[in-house]
Amino acid sequence: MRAWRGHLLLLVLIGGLTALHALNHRNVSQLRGDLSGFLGTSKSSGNQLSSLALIADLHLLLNRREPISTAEGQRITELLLASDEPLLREYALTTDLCRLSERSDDQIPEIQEQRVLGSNPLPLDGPWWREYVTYRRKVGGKQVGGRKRLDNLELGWYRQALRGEDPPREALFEHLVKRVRDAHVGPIPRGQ
Amino acid sequence: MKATDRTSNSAASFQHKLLGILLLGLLLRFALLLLAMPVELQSDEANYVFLALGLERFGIYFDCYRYLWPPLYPGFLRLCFFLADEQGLLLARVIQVLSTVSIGWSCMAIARRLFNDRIALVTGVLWVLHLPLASYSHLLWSESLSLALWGPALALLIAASHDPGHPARGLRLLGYALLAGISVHLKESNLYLTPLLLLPLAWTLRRQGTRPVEILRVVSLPLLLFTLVILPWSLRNLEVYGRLTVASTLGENVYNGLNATHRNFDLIPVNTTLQRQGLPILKVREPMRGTSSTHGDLTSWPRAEEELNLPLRLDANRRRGLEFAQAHPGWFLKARIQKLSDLVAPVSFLTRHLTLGHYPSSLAQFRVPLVLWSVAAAALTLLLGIIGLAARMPASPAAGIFALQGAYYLATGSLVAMSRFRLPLVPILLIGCASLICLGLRGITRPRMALCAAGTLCLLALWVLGSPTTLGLLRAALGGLEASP
Repeated sequence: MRAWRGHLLLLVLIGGLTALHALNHRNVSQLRGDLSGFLGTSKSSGNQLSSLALIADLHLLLNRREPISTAEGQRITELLLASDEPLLREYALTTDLCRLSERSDDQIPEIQEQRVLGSNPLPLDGPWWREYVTYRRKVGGKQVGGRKRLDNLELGWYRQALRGEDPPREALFEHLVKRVRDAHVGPIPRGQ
Repeated sequence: MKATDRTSNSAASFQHKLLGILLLGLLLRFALLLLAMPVELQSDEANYVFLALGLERFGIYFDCYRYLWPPLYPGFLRLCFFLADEQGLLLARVIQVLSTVSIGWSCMAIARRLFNDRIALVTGVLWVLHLPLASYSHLLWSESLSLALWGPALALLIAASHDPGHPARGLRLLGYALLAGISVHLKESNLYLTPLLLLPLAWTLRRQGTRPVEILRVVSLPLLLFTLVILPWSLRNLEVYGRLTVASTLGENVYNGLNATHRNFDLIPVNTTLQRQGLPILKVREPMRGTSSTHGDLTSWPRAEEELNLPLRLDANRRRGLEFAQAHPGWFLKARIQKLSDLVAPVSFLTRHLTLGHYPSSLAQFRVPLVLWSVAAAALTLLLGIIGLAARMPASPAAGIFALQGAYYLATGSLVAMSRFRLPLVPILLIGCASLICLGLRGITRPRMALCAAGTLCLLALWVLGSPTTLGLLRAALGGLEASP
């Protein structure tokens, strides 16, 4: 029996982790309950979640197997975009919500596209740049709004924007125009 | 007494040489890093950085919509951003360069255990000189860090399998499971390989007359630790997606690999640039192209975008791919051969970066010698490595471990192939090369000679098959495409 002590210890740890998971697990109704203040499904304001906690809960609700309708996805996106909190507005532009958005004819998530690229002239300031990178440089393709990948220069400006600084306006504009010009047009040449 | 002195002198001399080789490897990799900065982000590198930024900004780990990558590499980049902000990626590259010592050390440790000091040192020198492998130390793919963990894991497993009676066997196996488990969080490709590689140990124990219950006891302990290491992440995925999964790239890889369109990521970015510049693109050989006239309806199937849950979407992709393969068996076989040819093409991401102009002039000015060096290193490692392993690999549990690892990566590489996917085999091939250089072919048995000949012929056939694209890629690398109109 002594020879199996290590196995026993590991099995206890595996069991402990699994039990901990089961204890902390929240099903969709519980998540909806915790998010009722934000979703407007409860009259009492309840405990206000911090932005990060709200995002963490929404991340769970939006990715579960139980389907969230496009209509509900749109509503959550609108709630987030109407928020005073920049972090929540940026979250509305991530994959979690873009995949639930109504698509335009060319399969682009419509609300998010309008939010980031719908104004004329574009703001081209730090908060806008954070939104642009979150929306346009994401991994996953155009179905979720991703076009082109982040490059070194853009990363540097994003880091500046995180510190509250604005990227250099003219350089940013020229850079974005150049990237659109360089964008690949036509089918991917796979050599077949 | 004298014999003992000689042994300890020889051991000390070996250690000095080993340290010297590791230092040389580090110097070369730091020199490459210095010349390569600021290297532009390319494809997956930018994706890893984006995921790291998501972790930093939102405190959550996003999937990539088309797949779920393991979290450790984006987590590592996030930590580097936390420690060095704008210089975070430079810090990540420096740490990766330092971690390559572990790859060099483990190559030499395995070679020493299987052969002798001389072959171990030659393996070390070959590791120093393997430019494609060295270049991953400054690129932001998870390969370098993953190999830095997988190499020692393999060394520990081979030590345990070779000497199952050693008192440290249990600790060695636990070390294997721990390192392999952590490396799975960097790159999940070893997920199924890790338990599989315990089979040669079980076989050795059985041959030694060990009771089945005892074999079960020995083998199950590392498996339990491996499970424990990957469990927290799997449970997190259960909470987020409702599926107990480690990582999900299979569905997207099936979309890429079991679909009408041929995808080789050494080729596509170069062809995209050629097309943009109005130049003719590189094409695979005519008979290897999938066409509807030869294989029935070969229309590409689309991803299951209608499935909103990621694991369900990837499952649906996998089903579609398998149905497609079943409907086109002739195409399936032909496409696998093409993919194996892509896997062993002596190109690398170093040559791809040089072609596309991602390196600054400080490194690109050495374009021709770097391309020639890199191609020679890749080609000779493959050719001499296969011959060396076939001719000189001792009949031992390590032979089983190497064979299983080779078969595993050939199988995964036949789904989606590019030069990057053969990287986990490079340490093994380097050991094979060194054994061939030091021991030659003299005195090997007929079956071994036949194995050498078969391996060589297969490799040459795959090279000939892939030559139109490989030669085109090399011409593009030597000339560079960034300066073209």
